[in-house]
Amino acid sequence: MKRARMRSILIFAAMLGAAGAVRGQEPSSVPASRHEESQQEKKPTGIVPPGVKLAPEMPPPGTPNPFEFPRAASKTLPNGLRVFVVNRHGDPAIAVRLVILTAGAIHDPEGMPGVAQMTANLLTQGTEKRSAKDIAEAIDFVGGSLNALAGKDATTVTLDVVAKDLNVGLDLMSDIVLHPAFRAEELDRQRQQLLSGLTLQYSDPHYLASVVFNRVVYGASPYGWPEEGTPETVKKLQRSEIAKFHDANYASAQALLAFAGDITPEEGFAAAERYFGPWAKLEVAAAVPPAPTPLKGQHIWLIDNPDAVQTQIRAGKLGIRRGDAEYIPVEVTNRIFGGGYNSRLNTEVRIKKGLTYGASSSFNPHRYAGSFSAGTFTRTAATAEATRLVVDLIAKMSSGEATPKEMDFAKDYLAGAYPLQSETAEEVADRVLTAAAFDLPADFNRTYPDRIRRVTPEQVHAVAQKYFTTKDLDIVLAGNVSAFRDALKKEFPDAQYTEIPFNQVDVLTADLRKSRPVTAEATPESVALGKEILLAAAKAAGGDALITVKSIGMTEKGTFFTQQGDTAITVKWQVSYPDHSHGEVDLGSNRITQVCDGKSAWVRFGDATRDASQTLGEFERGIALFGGGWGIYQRALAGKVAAQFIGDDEIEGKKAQGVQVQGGQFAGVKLYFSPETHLLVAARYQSAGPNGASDNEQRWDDYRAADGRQFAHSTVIFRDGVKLAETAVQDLTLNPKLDDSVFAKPEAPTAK
Amino acid sequence: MRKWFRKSVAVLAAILGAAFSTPLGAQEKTQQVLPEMLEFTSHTLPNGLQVILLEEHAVPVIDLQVWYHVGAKDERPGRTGFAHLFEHLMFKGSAHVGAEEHSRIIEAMGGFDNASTYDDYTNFYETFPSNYLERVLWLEADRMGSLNVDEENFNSEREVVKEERRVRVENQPYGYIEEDLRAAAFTVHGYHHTAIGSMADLDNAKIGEVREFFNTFYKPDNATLIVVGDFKPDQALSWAKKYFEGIPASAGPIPRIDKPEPPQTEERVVKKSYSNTPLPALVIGYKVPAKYSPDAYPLDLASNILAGGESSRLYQQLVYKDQIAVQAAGFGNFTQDPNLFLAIAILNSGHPVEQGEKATMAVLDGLKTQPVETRELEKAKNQEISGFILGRETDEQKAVALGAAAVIGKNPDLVNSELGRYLKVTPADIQRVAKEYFVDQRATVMIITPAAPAQ
Repeated sequence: MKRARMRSILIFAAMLGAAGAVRGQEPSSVPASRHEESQQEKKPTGIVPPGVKLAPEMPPPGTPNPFEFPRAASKTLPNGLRVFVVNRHGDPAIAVRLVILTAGAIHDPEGMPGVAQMTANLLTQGTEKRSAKDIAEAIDFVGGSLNALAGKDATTVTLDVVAKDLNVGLDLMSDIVLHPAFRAEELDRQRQQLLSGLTLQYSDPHYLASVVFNRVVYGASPYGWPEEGTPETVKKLQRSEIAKFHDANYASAQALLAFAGDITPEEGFAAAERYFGPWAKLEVAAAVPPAPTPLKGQHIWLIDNPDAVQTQIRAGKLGIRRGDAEYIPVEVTNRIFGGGYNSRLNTEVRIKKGLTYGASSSFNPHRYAGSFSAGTFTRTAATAEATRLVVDLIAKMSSGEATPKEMDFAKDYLAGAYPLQSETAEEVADRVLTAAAFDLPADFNRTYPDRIRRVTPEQVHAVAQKYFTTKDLDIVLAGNVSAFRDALKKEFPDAQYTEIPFNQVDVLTADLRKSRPVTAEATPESVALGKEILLAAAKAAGGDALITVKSIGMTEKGTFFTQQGDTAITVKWQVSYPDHSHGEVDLGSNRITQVCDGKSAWVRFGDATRDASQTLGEFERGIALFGGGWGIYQRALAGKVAAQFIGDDEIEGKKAQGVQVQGGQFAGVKLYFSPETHLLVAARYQSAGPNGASDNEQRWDDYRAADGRQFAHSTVIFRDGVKLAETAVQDLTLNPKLDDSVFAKPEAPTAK
Repeated sequence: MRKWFRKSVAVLAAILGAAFSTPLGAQEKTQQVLPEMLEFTSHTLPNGLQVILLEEHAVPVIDLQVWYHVGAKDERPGRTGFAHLFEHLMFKGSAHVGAEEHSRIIEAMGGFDNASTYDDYTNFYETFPSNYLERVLWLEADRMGSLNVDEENFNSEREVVKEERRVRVENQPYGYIEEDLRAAAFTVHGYHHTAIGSMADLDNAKIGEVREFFNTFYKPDNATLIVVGDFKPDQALSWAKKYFEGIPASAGPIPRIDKPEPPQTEERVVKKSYSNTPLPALVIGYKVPAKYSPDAYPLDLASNILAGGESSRLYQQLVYKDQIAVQAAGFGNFTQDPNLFLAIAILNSGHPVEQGEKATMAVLDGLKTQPVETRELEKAKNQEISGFILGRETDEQKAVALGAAAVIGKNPDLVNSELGRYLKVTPADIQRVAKEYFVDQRATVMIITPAAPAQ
């Protein structure tokens, strides 16, 4: 079975050899005509071509065959795990679903969305006794699938196998849930993959509109955080957080396990006992997340991408919780409004006006909160008109007047389609689990169609008046904003607007923008103090004696921390101030040469030399910071560094004075000096990486005299909060004679 | 059904009686348990309409499909997009059904309807409560026999299709890749263009040509009706006859464009840079034979070996070990005429496409130099078996399987005999097809680089 990974990328949908138009609710459905209203009422033609005979009358339906939702047998294990079994005679495959109710994304640590999801991702990537490859090989060998995904309320682990391989599958499933290893190298791999996936998502207007909408509707509630995290949080994920999340949140007493397939209750309970009985009992206190903080009034967020040819539109607000008594009337109301091809929303926006290819609405009820959203998309030029229409339709719905025809149509569909949506083992298992997870009445699944049919116009009226008002409404548009901004503001003159370029979106900040490096306004006082601190440091390090150091030779030994583990490194440096360097990095099995001549930079790895001139600034910064900042001091003593004092900070528990370089080559770099020794103890700067900028903190220590000057003999670098390298100087030569050729582009050694 | 139940219980009982833990590498016998045969019946009406019926009574539901044997490849140069445009027009009303009424009637009965256009066929289908079978047959017959193809519908749907093209292709990240690849890989054959067609061709189309398209291809002798679900076959067949027999067959044979793609003699390379593809990507299309041909089976198993699950070769090498790709895939697009086997990699930022190409080629070469191990082939076959099982759970899935066998394979029995062909494949077969087909002279290579720097 060629199963795409859950975070599958758009390209595969495009490449899967087929499909032109598909009707229905997806964006790829048949869009409607875009002509006048009269056309929409087009009657049958009555014209039968010559030679053709057709029956004129629509036949009546036959007597319906009864459908009864199957019963699930249930049992609770001693560790609190609730087990459900639906026996489907003759099914060739078995669907197994484990839902862990305390391991949803809403349980992510504050400010760290993505932990629950990464924990789920890592379950299949290695256990105490199995490697990631072992697990993949075992499940692939039987043609099964085993996955784990964190939703907002819970983590769900899914297993699908043919019946004969149930035990193989369950053995793997229990191993990954009970004994995941969370190896650091696997975390790094998953992190890289997720970051790449997010790179794609953040260029997709559909994703951007949805992720921003979610955030603004829920405000401070964790329901507004993306389960997958953001590039910023994913970069910082630590193994310890993942292990902690698993230990604290994978609670047996708040988990549900369902089997659906050719399996009797006795067999199912026995399998549950065998494979999940050993799950040590854990019961977690129910933690109600912070309530949503909806905004008052109409707010419009504009996510700008000048290359877009269409705008994605979302409009909505808070809705009901899953356990709300109005759940069933809400289903009917939503169906009428925007739940199908012939709903009000689709009929008006698509069929009548032809403004779009797909318009629909949904309530998204979770355990503690829920949202309502109406969504569509349209060509750029029609953005204002389509948005106006959607909002008007929501407002009209809030009057609560639904016609009997609308009521019947919605109820006929929801009741009639129920058997169609309970056909597969997975569908049945999911319905059983939903009823259990939300403590729905025991007969909910068996009586769903009846409940739908009993909904009254009064109930729909009440729902509509409560949830479809537009006085308070959140609207998100992702597209080419410059092309529709004016027209939009004419339609919504009283709304509050926020504009964000699409590549600046960060849903975790207060203004939903990526934080920019803070360069506080410089004052004469801060500049003077900054200069003073910098010169004091230069003096402590050697003063004018530093100016006479034209070059240095240095060997460092230490450790480089990578996903493959820790590597011993030795680096030989040859530096000619201010901006030439040659580094030979020995990583044991590999050797890297890094050269910079002030105009270009190169990195040689194996027999390939790569031009690294785009990171020239980083080479030069490195040169300036050797030994605790000698290159910076040389410039400062020559009056060539503009800097300002930015306040005190703590470095390793000790107070340090912060100075930020303003303008020039090292603009933005923050330097921290000890008030006692005046020497540099740390620096914070950004470096370029494959996934955008990384935050670095480098520290210096073990200052030793070198010919009357002070040179730091040990340094540690942290990148995005994780230790990257630490080294100690073995030997140091001042003013070695260095030929120009040392700083030439590294070439292949001449053949022997 | 009963035979299945007994057998699987016996197997399960044997395992439960055995030792507690299943050791790594599964020492239990790897006996294959095969999916059930689909016990369908096939009939042909006097007007040529093929009717395939399969009973499934687990739920009171029916999936009904009408497959018209016409697709994008039947479109003449300069007239691309017709089949798809026509698919839209089929919902616009007929003698006894108003515009958009078809879908409303289906929805009112608690059903769901859909349609899709492919290279070789166009299918219209609905899933609905089983007591509405007669009504749905009446609906399908009415539009087959008397579709209203008028100027107004035509003009408005043309605009609508252009919107669809924007959302699927022009505003979609990586949306252009399929058509750019096919345009390079196919110079003459109808697979050269995609079903959505080109804007220019749609603008140039005339109503008379579209009517001619309907009159040529939307005929009962160019159609297959498939009904899967909770019904009585005698009743279903009797209704099918009642509603469809009045539609006459086409006057002459259905015309086909006979323009086989000439053999490719050397590698083709296409370099593209799009504004909305932030990660570099590589797509290689190798010319391979048609669906149901003898080599399609080892090639399909090769795709399981290459990309089926995380233990697969492309995933292990490019994604897991080298970490140069975020996703890697390899699969054959097997259609009625020879098409392409695709090897795809989306690379992590900072990795040149050439690096991905080299790594992908190395994995493909691995299939040529060494026959695959017995266990790896067994895994691929198990994946195929479970694919047949899990891929035929619903009435709709079964109906699609029957449609492919009947319309593309021209033999509905293929739906049951296909799996056997997979199970006969040997390691030598896989090595042979890799050597024969994964070669430069059959390859069209697309190199996609981001226009804007990745964030």
